[in-house]
Amino acid sequence: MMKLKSFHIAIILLFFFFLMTLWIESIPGYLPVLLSETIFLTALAMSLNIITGSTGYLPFGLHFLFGMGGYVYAISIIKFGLPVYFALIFSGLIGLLSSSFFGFLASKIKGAYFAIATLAIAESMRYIFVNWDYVGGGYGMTLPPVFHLLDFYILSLLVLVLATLSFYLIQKNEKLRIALAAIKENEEVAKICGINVTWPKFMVMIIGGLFISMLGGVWVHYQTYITPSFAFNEMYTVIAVGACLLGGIGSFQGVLLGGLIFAIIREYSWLIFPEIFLLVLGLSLIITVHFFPDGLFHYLEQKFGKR
Amino acid sequence: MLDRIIEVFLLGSFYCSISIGLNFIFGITKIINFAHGEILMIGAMIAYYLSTCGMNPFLTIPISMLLTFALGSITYKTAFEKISQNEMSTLISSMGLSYTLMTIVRILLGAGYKIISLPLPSISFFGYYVSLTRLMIAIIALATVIITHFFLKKSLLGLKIRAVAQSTLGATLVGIDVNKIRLLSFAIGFSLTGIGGVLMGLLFAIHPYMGGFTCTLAFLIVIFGGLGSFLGTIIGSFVFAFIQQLTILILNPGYTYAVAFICLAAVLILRKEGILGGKFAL
Repeated sequence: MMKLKSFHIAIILLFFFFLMTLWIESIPGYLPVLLSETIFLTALAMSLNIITGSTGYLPFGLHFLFGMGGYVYAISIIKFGLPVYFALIFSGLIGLLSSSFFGFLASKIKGAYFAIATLAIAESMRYIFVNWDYVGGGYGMTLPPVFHLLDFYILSLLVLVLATLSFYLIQKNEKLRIALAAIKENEEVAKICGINVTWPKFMVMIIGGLFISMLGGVWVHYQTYITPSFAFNEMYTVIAVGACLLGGIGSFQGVLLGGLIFAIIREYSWLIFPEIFLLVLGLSLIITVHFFPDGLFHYLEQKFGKR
Repeated sequence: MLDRIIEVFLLGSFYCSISIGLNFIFGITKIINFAHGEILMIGAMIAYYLSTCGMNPFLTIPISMLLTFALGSITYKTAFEKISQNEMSTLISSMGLSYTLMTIVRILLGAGYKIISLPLPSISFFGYYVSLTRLMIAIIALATVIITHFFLKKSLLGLKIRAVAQSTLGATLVGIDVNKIRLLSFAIGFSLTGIGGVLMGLLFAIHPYMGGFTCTLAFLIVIFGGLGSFLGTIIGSFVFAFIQQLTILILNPGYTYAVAFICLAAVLILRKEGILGGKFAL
């Protein structure tokens, strides 16, 4: 019953966000920006949840996908003069390509080795972009300023809804869900039981990568500039992982909750304690894993029981 | 050509000193310590403040070891002891610890750049000049690795630590206080990192955010050599330095890290558990 209930709450929340598109531009002040960025971060966490929540593989170089998406978006806008939506499609395509490389890596190595190998790729990509003159080297590129908060809001929300939907569909597909659960619990045993472990991992990896790269494009559209250390920044990975863990990885209601809370903590600690913002962030991470090891959602579910 | 070889030796042993502590901690406690860079930074800060009091920076190493040892025991007690069984939780906890330490150091000591001045001469070596500071760093780094190796292989505490690293259950059955050993080895790992921090402080400008990239570097070297394998870390450090120097020689100096990182990733694809394939672990 509880599960059904939280499921409904999640749907209502998403629907409420959709309704907000009507008013987002008429609300004065800071609130719409906060709301948009919250939704953006939640979408990032949800995309990571598709990968980590279902397979247990943690790609610590998530900012590789994010930065590639951002750069392809910027290149197609500036160098080829494509319209925004085409550029976003291209970011998605590069996301598919780059994350299929992650999928290939995942078929070879696992655990901490996979996490750090992806980090190595992300870091090396940053150095390549710093040295690449075509994309402006370390100075990066500036996009034509077509700043619309509404665009950013709608695009982030779109990715969030699509990511949530695909996570839900993956979990809904009985055969895939069991295969992924087996991989998450014990890959060797799953292999011995005759489960094809390569394809589910690969599929999940490219779905997650598609959304992360598209978010990279959306973020660049919103910020209207891109530099290598801005695009390939570890902070995005930390945010996504932190939000996932806070809410409870592996359930979309949990990640939705975690993303919202994490974004608000981040923004308000930035606002109230600008000096010790990172301290607040760090301590909240430590406290989260100590008191809610399975995430807030799981904790709430246990506390309020199956009514 | 010889100068490149000397550089590989100097750089490789320096990389050894910054990554050995990380490997020690992972090999025994299975905690992936993302606060590694901050411990290095704290070691460097200690060296800086003691050297401003007129101490020789090389003599600050024991004090740095002691202080980071204490820090290691405190952080293990507060941030890791309860969740030490869950790999993901410890990873996130160490990430939080990294931000916490970074900010505390910045608030207490300021964000400005600090430089340890150590006027040592260069010595001539077959017509090439080698900085004595860097030579000392290389010697201390290699000595640290060798002493740690013999400590693990020959002493009773080392035997206990290796037992815990191999099997927690087995170690418990023969009457070893596993939690105490984990605490100790976590703290020893921190103090090894403290040595690396002092050495790093001698080479680079010291500031609260210096840890981030070094941490990534140490991670890549350790993973390349295989988690929990000392020999792997040594090989990884020298291979890493070698690839860097080769890139400088034949390609563009701007691409050193890019090429080295890609090579490390490629090796991982070929050999799942580092270059030694999971052998020679603790």
